[in-house]
Amino acid sequence: MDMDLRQRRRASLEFLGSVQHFAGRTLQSAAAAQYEAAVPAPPDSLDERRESVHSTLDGSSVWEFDRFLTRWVAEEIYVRALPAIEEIRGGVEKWLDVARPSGTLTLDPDLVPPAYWEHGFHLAPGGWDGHDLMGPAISELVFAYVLTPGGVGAVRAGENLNDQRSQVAGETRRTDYEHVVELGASSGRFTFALRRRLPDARITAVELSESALRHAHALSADKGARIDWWQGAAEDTKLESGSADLVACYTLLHECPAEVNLQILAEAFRLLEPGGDLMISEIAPYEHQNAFRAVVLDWETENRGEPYWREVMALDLHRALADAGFVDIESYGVGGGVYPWVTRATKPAA
Amino acid sequence: MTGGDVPNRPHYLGSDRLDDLARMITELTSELWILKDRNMVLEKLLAEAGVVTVESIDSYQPDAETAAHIAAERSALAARIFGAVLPNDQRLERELGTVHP
Ligand SMILES: C[S@@+](CC[C@H](N)C(=O)[O-])C[C@H]1O[C@@H](n2cnc3c(N)ncnc32)[C@H](O)[C@@H]1O
Repeated sequence: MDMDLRQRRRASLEFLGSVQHFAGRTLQSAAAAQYEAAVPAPPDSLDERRESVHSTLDGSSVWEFDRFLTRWVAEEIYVRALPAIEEIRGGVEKWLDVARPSGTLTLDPDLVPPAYWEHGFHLAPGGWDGHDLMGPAISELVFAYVLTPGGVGAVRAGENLNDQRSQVAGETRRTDYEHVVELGASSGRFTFALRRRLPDARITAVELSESALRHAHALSADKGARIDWWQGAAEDTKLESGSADLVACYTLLHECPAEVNLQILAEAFRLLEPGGDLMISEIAPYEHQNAFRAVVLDWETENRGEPYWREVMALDLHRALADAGFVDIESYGVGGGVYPWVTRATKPAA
Repeated sequence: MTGGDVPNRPHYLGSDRLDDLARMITELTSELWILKDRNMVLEKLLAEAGVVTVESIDSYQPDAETAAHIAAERSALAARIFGAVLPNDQRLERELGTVHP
């Protein structure tokens, strides 16, 4: 939807994008150069890398201000985006009240969200559903004004987050799937890319957040994209066993504890028919990243409300997939880099 | 409770107070930007309404009276900000000097 913000709100959100861009591009690059000049042969293990980067850059103003500003922006996005959307609530609510739906929206009034999900993710006050308009606030305002121009986590400033999702959607092993289940869909940034890639498939998109699902459903109607939005947990979707021939997720795993990751893989296996495919896009393992970058990514754990980041990055995904019963497991960077990073696997044919 | 929780907020610049100060500066810069943005919008709307043009603002040359008025305000601003570390009696005296009955 076109959200016309009042001048103060627009300018204040745009300012955050510029600050994050400056920190990511200028300050962080300078800090990386300082580290690389000081430590030409950095250690390999994450603990040693963390110690090496932090002790080498102790007192470096570019490093400390990059971290300070990144944290400040991460807190500030909610302080600015939620009032901005409150101010135009009438129009947003009207738009969310879909008159001519495309696909369906199934909310579960009895759903008890898992405790790990409800805490203050990404520093959002009250967590993922801490505000009834959190979905549109994040997906329309924060993405457009701050994350796209400024970068976030593994995504660098100026990179197009939607292009990356389209690139990943282009990596499905086949294009003749009949029923796709996406796990952790939020308001559909990846789902719409799957929709374009697989125009004939039925798509069920699973997500815990009601505000994200309502937003997704309204976007579907705008785009004429037929998608069934389904409120549920990725590790316990309540969808029928063997009903999908593709299960996909995009940056879901690092949002859940490692043990829940294993449950999600088991659930994906259950949902797939024999011969069905699984496609996961996540941050590339640290062995594919340089020391400075790995530490910057790992920093999210304590500093940007990503409590499970470190333990999930430590998980051996290939092994977990094999343990869950998957075969033909492979991972690679789409376009030759490390982000986006894709892992594909298949449930053995009966 | 939530990630917005102030008690668990890490500090990044060596001490909590330094971080607090830096937060105030980022907020101030943000306010400054919002005003600059608004000023640009104002100039655009005034130009569209035929009141002034950006060019007429840019090429404006203050006459003696206006120049003196601007200079006094500018000196007062510099004195307030950079004089913030001075003893209070000096600061009060200076401020009283700006009072025009
Ligand atoms: C980082 S977002 C990614 C969203 C989307 N896939 C995209 O490409 O932008 C992770 C999403 O997963 C959801 N999520 C986290 N844990 C979940 C779970 N156990 N079951 C379902 N959704 C979950 C969150 O609510 C959030 O919307």
